[in-house]
Amino acid sequence: MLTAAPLGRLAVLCACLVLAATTGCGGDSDPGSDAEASHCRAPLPEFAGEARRGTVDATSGDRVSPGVAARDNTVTIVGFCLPDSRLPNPAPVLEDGGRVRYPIGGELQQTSAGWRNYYLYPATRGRQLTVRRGERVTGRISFAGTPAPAACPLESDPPFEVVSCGSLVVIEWASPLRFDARRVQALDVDALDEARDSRPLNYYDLGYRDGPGGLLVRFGIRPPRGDRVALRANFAYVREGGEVREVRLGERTSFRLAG
Amino acid sequence: MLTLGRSRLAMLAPAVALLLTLALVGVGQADLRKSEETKHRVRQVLTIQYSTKYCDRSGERFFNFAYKVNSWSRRWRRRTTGRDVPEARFLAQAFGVRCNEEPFQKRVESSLRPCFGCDGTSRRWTPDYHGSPGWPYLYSPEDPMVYPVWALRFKLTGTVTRRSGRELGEICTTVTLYGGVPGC
Repeated sequence: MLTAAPLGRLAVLCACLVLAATTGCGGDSDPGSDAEASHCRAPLPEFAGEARRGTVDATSGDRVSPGVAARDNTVTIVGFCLPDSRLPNPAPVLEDGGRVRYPIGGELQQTSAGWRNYYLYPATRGRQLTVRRGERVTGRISFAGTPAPAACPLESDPPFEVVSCGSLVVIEWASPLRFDARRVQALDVDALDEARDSRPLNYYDLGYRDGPGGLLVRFGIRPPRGDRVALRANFAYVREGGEVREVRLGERTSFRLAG
Repeated sequence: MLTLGRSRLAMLAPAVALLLTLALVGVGQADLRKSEETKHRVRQVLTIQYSTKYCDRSGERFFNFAYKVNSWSRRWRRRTTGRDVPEARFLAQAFGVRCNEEPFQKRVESSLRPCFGCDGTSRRWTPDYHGSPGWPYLYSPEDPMVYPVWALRFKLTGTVTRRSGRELGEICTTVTLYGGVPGC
């Protein structure tokens, strides 16, 4: 004869199973679902280092949803949940007061909970940032304070100068490249860690200025493991009368970056 | 202990049946999700690092968002040491437009032997195998009729075997930065 107690337990077990299955069974959630888009969970990536974490509020049901943010005085990192591995078009931008910050690079990761893309933006100052994708505001990020300039343990030798240190090392290079800064569309450069089989340090372009001896090039790189960085300037793309000319550079140099 | 009468049991039975059915469907879905990310108890992790830049002619507007792939890394995780991946293949394809609007096309293929527990990693992980393509900044053209094939995609496949050497099947991971999603 059946009794109520075993039946009750069975019903509770069934309900639990249904609940577990529909909520993703221990963190395995469907990366493409709307629930994922509005509750994006993304851990801080390893390369965020000592960056200070911000509070992220995803404000719309956009499928490309911000889930984590951190910054220091060199970079602002925002992690997004993606429905698949394709990077969003248009790419999300950050509004920092009156300034719009565009991504300088990123890292795409496949995690057990779906696809995550960590965009890197130039350093920001405002306590409140707005995440915008196209015409749509997709999130707001709050930070407790403005990132303080950290003491930088690294130094270099001219024509390279360390500007700031953090998750990235920001460097200014007084290059011998003879271009008008306003006409340079892009420089294609590789920065390589000489101590690690010339592994890329992910050269991030932070802009150009005219210098007395050539183009002043500001860039960020991941901190190298060794104390020497090789720089390989491949191409410059220069605007000329509505066209863009590719100039092969072939510039090779290396510099010391040590404490 | 409360004893159920025949009529109360008859009332409860459909509810229990419904719950059981829902539970089975739910568990089936959860298992499917897991099998998508881990097959034959082995998981491949493919990470792409890139820099970005706008390739605009005027310098006043922001369009033609371009990617420069700096590096990729591949590693494998196995849930049990009874699994092996004796050989894996990696394919990286770039069909895009350079910042001077010239089309660019490259295809890189390689094979490697993932080594679990090598270079100080645990026996469940392989080291990170890094590679860098040396490609320029690439963007996808606005008009797909001009360049009908355009993509920036990566595909990693590996054959999973038991310790005995018996083949269990292939695992496949794809990453598409832009363009259509390729099937494995």
